[in-house]
Amino acid sequence: MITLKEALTLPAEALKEIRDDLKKEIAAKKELGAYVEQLTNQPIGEYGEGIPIALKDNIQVKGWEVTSGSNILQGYVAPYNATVVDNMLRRGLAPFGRTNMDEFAMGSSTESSFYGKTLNPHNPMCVPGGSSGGSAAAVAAGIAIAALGSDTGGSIRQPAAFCGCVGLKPTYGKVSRYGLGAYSSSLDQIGPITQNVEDAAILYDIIAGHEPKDSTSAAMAHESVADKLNPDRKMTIAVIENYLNEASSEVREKMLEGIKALQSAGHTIVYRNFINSKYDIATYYVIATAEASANLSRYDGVRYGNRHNSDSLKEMFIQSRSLGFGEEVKRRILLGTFVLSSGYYDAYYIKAQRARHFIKAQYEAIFQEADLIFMPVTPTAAFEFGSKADPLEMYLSDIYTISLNLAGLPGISVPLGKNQEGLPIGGQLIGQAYGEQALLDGALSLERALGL
Amino acid sequence: MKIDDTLLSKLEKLSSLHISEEKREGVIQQLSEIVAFVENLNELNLENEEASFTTLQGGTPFREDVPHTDPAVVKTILAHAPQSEDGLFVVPKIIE
Repeated sequence: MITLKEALTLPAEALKEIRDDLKKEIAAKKELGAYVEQLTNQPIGEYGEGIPIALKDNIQVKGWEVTSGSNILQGYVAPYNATVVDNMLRRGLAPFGRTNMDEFAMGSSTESSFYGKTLNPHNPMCVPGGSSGGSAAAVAAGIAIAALGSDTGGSIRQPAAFCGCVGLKPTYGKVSRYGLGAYSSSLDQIGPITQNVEDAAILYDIIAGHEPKDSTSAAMAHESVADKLNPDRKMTIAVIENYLNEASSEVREKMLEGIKALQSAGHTIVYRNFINSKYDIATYYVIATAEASANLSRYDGVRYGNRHNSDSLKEMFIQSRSLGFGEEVKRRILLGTFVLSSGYYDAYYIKAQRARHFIKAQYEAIFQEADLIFMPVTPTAAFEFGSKADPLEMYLSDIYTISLNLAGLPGISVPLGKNQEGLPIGGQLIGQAYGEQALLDGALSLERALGL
Repeated sequence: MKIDDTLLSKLEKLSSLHISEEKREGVIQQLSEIVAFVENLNELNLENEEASFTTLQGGTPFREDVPHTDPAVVKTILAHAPQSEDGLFVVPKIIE
């Protein structure tokens, strides 16, 4: 597949040809289920002309059905474009297809989508990761030049690692959430999933920037990074030693190769430890579910999506929600309602807010001594469908990705190679807040040193 | 903290959700397991940490209170709403 960088140099006729070829390829690879359109047998969604970019099904495109992979949003039509979409259109990029996702981005395997499964392009028995599993699978399978996803606790980086792509979660506030279906507003962030680091930098530059309509959008001018990428910059990189030691042997082996590559590129490696990742998971599942229970209260069958008719208004609310939401979404709403309810608020919600400060302080301490942090993305390579039926076990597959959402920091997943079964394994670099330039410089250096 | 049927009923009421009879036991067990895991946080000494959190320095800004309506948005939403009439959403009768 042509890269985004190459596509940006092409004339309109050539782009039209690429779009036509993509449509044929997407139809031919229907069984992959990366696009919602592949799962519903519909023609691929198009908006405008230009370089086709696949969008996760929670990013608003005017006139498109945008459903967050949920039954409750069937029939909803987006009335406006997300800021990232308008930013793309200004630069000659155009929405092209909706990618499959876990319902309301709540999941790590894309199995909870209303539309069905997305397969991992490297092994159809395995999940593509999630929640942006469709975006990662589309890029990995060569049926998207690049894609956008959203990352609340690892939903860009984890599927990118499972599918062998690059996935960037920018600093909280750098890319506007205006027009992104909300899951956990203090954690959600849109970012690119691409074939390589340079494309991630290019797409990040295109979508980033201040949006006055979004009060959580960072009020600063965006400074471009792609044109200043410098893989030769030498940095001090802190490896999280306890995470390295507790990961599976296949992940550890690839991480060690990554460390060697970074050393050979001239970076200084230091070793530091983090608190047990169980505290990150605990903090995340309080804060994310609390925010989700509030955000998802808007889905009541009154204004949009699916209504379950009933004679009583109260019964209509309950039936519309109970039949419209899937199991995992209901579980998280109940949990979020619990941690915010009278009598439990201080013991759970306030405690998690304090823990969030504690986790952020850990990162700050390491960044006193290091420019970047390097750690695994996932404890293992992609797992098989149905193998994590217990919700808590599924939550624990996110142990290395969650803490940087809690701290608001940028992170990137870079392919490190494949395990013996041919499944990709990724490594994660983490930067300081608004430090995307250093982060992408380091990621490009890693990518080049590995020479994959 | 053990989630029991009484607490689940309270949570259902607060969240306008109904968990069916055959699923209650499983949901109670899963929620109890997750809440027990979350209680790991009790092992940390968090006394000195602030109770409010924002990743944005200086918090979120105030803006001028200027009304802003895009009629096209209203039109699209109403056109695809489950039931609408005269520019309003229609819902089941609230007062008998």
